[in-house]
Amino acid sequence: MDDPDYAAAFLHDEIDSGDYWRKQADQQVRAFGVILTPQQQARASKGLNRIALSLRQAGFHLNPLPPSLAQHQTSRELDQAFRQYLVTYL
Amino acid sequence: MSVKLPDSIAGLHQALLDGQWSFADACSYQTTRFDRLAPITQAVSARLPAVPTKFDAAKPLSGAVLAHKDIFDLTGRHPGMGRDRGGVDRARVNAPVLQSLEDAGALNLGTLVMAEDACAAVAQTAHLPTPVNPLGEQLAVGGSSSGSAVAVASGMVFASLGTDTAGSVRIPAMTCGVMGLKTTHGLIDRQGMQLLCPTLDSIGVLSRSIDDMSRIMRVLTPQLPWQREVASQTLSTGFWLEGATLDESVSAVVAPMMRARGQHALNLARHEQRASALQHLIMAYEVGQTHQARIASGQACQQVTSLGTVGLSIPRAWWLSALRLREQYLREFIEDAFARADVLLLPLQVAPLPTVQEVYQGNPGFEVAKLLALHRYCGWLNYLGLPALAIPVGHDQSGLPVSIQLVAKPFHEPQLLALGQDIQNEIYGKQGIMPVLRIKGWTS
Repeated sequence: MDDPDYAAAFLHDEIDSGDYWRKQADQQVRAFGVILTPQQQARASKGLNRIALSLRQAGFHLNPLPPSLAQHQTSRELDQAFRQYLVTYL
Repeated sequence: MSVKLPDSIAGLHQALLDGQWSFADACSYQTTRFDRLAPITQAVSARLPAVPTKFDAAKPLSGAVLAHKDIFDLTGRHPGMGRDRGGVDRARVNAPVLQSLEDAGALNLGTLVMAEDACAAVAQTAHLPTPVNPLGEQLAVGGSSSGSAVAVASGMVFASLGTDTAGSVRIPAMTCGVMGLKTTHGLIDRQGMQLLCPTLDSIGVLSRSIDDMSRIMRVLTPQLPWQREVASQTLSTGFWLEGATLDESVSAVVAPMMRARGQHALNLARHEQRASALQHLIMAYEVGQTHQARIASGQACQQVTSLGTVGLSIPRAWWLSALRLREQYLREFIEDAFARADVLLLPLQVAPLPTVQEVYQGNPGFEVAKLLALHRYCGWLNYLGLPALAIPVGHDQSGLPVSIQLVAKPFHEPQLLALGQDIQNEIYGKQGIMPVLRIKGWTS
């Protein structure tokens, strides 16, 4: 499984935050050069779980987030697209 | 001078035109007031050497003293970001937003204290003195544009710029009883401003009067149709109370006001819930990305580290999806909420203004629920990119202000300010301006 698959499994509650942390998040955080203490890791995992829970409460596990086909897209590109949409209300 | 210096920029200009004040005296009075209040309010991170020249009635901000959140570049200076008091950087020039105000005649007297890296709902910082709330020193000041709210409320400045990612203009405005406008995402150029979350950050304005706010906004956003007069009585209004979680003492002020002013009752709970969830996801992810190097080196503050480490572990797929859904969710929100309303009256404050003991970390009376309540109804509007005006609408049993937020469609700030003026007139009388709070230790 790659990131989107693990992410989907986590969102659908098929794996828990501990599993997700071991399979994906730990490696992802280390890749950014961040080494967490066990306490920090536990807190981060808890925070991640809270976000997943709020997504489920808002119904995203029933009506899944769209698949990520373009992982390379940048925040600048996505933000620009949203800004162009906002301008239609000007 | 025996005549009191007016509390609004329009009043200041009239006094100058009438010869009640000379330009030099008016600037000198404002500067002295700013310098005397700075150590009392603890709102200033650095004093700037503004040099008044002469009165120019054609410039809408001529002779008006302002100061702004320490998050913007200035010529020869990098911002302090709540980490320190800023410093020399010859490569930097004024952020365009500050240059526009200066070109309009404003005097920028200083940079204002902010929560570190703009990442907290309260003013508390580890590196600088915490600004004091002019409503009472026992009361907390919201963040992150904390110095801006204190400087405005105490009368040090007519208005101040802040930034808002999840309420950082509206929360401090609410806690100090002034107004705070978060502008439409993308409306004001953010060049020369340090970003926390690129897809959520907006520049905003804090002031004690709608008229001052409107003057600033006309300067900063000439692309909006300010020349078209908006009659507030022609605006249709909707309000949302059903399912909103408000403390009884707040509800006692807000509910009758909303029912009297709002024409259409709405239930926006579904929109708020999903937009809040996605805003929180995006914020954590982008705080992690923005401050990755500082988190890795252990230099980031506690809030950035704790939110950012969660953010660095969030699946990129979730973040991308949250951003892709934004247009659809905004469209659906506008279809639902603005079908019969031009302006919405929405909850902002959920509980009485908290004390320092209750929401500043490390105090024995600290209650995390009260801290979280400060931004309960803020972030979802950043996700949707909408403009929102925090405005006091009454007072609770303790005599402290209670605020709501007015929300309009993207780029409809003129409508927000038109209704805001109407509400302000009702609360503060025909003059329509909030009184300056006379902070302990200051006599004019």
